Amino acid sequence: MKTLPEDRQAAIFEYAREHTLEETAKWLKDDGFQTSRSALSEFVSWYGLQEQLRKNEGTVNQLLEKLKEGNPDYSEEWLQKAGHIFFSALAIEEKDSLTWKRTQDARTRQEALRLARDQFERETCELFLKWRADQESNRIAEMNMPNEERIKLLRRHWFKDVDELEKSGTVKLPE
Amino acid sequence: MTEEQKELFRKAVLRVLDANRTRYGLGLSAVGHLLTQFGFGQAKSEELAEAVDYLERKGLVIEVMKSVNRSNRAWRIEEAGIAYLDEGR
Repeated sequence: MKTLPEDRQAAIFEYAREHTLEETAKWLKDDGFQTSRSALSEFVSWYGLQEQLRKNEGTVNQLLEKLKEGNPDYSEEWLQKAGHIFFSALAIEEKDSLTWKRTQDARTRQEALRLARDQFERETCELFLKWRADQESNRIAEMNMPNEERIKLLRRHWFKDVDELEKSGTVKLPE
Repeated sequence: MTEEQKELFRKAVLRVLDANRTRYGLGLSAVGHLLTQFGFGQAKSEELAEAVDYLERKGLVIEVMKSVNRSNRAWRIEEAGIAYLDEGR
């Protein structure tokens, strides 16, 4: 896959970013290109890293140009050495940022989940207290009949305003 | 690491260096960090140094910046390294 034309490689990488490896392999197969899941996985890692390092090279080149402008007596050898050091440092820095971002994203998702669960539990308890204080709800709950029937009666009792609103024809509730 | 694990590890190091088609080399720390993109966890610096030395002895990678300070050394893949990876595919 590494010998494919550059635009073809870019297209495969873009498709793989939005799809699973299986979907990408099938997409390629439909286009007449047979590849294994492992080869595809390796290509995606290789291409992504190659792009990242290519961009870093541009950044380092710019940095060295600035250094050269400000310090014309720096030797080419010195600048080349500095380039290697900056380049390696940038690779570590970017990888750390990506790892940090992934960790933060995971933490944000967990926190959102925790807040949603807290809210659900609190609202359920509030509703229970509200229903418990309502005499008609208690009367229906204690009726000697199947659950299904009691649920129907409770629904009619609690949502009578909504039913009346719907009957009035002023609003149309979703199915 | 078993011999088989070492071989897989060396290949992963070679793959990282293979992705670097720039004029600059990568140091051991950078290679270690980037290995995670090929499914390896953070490697020990001794294991990394051993793998790179092995690949260099085999002519698959070349040291582009020789330095007394180990943290400032950097390597690039050789044509033989690219060919070696292509053969394994």
